[in-house]
Amino acid sequence: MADPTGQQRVVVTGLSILDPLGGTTEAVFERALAGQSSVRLYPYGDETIGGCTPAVFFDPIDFEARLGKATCRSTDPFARLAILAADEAWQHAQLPSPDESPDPRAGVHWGTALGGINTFENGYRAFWKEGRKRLSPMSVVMGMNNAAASQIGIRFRLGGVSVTHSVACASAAIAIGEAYQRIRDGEMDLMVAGGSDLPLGIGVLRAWDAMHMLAPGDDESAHRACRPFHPDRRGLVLAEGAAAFVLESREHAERRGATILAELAGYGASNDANHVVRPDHRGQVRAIHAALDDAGLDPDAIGYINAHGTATTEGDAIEVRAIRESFGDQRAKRLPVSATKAVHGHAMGATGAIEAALTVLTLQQGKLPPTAHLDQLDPACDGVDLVRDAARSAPEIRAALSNSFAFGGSNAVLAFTRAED
Amino acid sequence: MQALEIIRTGIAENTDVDPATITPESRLDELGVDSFTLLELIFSLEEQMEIELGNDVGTPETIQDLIDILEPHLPTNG
Repeated sequence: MADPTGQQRVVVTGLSILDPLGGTTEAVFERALAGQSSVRLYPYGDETIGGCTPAVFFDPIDFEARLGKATCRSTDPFARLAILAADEAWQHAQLPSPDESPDPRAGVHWGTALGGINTFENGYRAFWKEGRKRLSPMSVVMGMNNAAASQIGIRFRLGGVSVTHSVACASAAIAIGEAYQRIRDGEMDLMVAGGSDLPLGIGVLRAWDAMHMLAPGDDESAHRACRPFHPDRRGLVLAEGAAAFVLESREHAERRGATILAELAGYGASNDANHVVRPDHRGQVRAIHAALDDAGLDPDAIGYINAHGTATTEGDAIEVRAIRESFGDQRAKRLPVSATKAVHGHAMGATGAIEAALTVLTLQQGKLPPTAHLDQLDPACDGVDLVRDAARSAPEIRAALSNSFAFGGSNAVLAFTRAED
Repeated sequence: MQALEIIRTGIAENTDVDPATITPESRLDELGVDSFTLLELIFSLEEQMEIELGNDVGTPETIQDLIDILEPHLPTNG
C-alpha cells in the first residue's frame, strides 16, 4: 500500500547468488554462516606470461546447455552469468513466463564494473598475438557494457526501462538502489536488478596487481587470503560472480500473492568528491545517513551491517570509522558488523548484489554471518561489534544495512527491513 | 554436396538446430537464422574455409541461396 506521500513500499520477492561452489542461494548463505571460503588458487595466462593468485572462479560452465548456442554466440560470459542469475531470481519470485508483449511497468537495472572486457581482451589477443585479421561480427554486442541488461530485458520482456550502472565496486548496489527508486516513485511495478562481473582476465589481474592490492597466497593459504579487519590483511581477492534481485511494489507483490522476502526500505548514495582511490569516511557517513533517512529508520533499529570490507589496510579502518561516526561510539560498539568478502571475494560490479542478497537472508533467518579468518583484530578496526569466529543467532534483528564503497569515491548503502514489519 | 555439409556444420555451431534436418529448401528464418545470426554464420564459414565472401552477400532466404553464394568459393576437385 502506498504511504501518505504517494510513495510505494518496495519489497524483495526473488533472489539469486551465483557462486562458484554452486548450490542454491540458501546454500551460499549457509557457507557464509560457516565461514567456508570459495577462494582457491587461480592459475592464469599462458606459457609466456601468467601466474597464480588467490581468486574465486567458476570451473567451466556449460552455458550452451543452459542458454542455447544462439545466445552464447552473441554474449560475453558476464551477460551469460547475468541471464542465469536473473533466471533463478525470476523463478524464486515464482513469476510466470513473460507475455509476448513487453511490460511497460517492468524494467532492469544492472551493475557491472568491467562488462564485456573479456571479449575485447580476447580480440586484442587474436589481433596482436595470434595474427588474425578480423573479429567476429558479434564482438560489439558481446562487448558492450549494457549487454547483460539488454539480454535480461529481452528474456523477461521488461519494456519499461533498461539501465546499466558502471560504478566500480558499487555498481550493483547502485543498480539495486536506483531500481528501488523507480518502484518507490511509482514509475515501475517490478524491476530485475543486480550485477555480474568476471574480472579474471590477465589484463585486469595484472592491473590490480600493479596497484599492490591483491592478497597473496599459495595452495595452502589461498582459502584464507582475504582477511578483512585482520592486522595482517594483505588486500582483496578478485572474484567471478553474479547476483540478482526481483523487486516489486508491495502492492504488486501482494496482488499476485508473492512471498515477500524482505523490504528494501531505503537507499543512500554519496560521492566522496575527494580522491579517486583513497576512501573518505565523511562520504561514507553521508551515504549511511542518507539510507537511514530514506528508510525512516532510527539508527538504533539497525541490527547488522554487511560491510564493504575488502581487506585493504586503509579501506577497512576507514569504513569502521564511518560506522562509528554514523552511529556514535556507544551504539557502534554494540552494532554487529561483518565482511563476507572473506569467503566470496570481491566480485567487482556484482559484489554489492551478492552482499545485499546475503543481508536479506541474514534478516530472514536471524543469523549473522561472521567475518571469516578473523582470529586477530586490527586495533585500527576496533569500535564496532565485529562478528567473528562463528555465525551469531539474532532472532530479534529487524533491519540491516549493506555497504558498498567504490573506487572513484561513489558510495551506496541499502537498508533492508524484515518482510513482516 | 560439399557446400551443404559446410553450411550444416556452420548452422549447428551457431544455433540449436539439428543439422540433419537442414535441406537446400530449408528457410533460414524457420531455422532461427535471422540477419544478425547470418552475419556470424557467414563469418564462421569464411574463417573455416579461409575464404572471403565479400561484404555484399545479398539477402539469402534459403539454404540453397547460401549454397549458391558459397559454392563458387570452394576449391574444385581435380
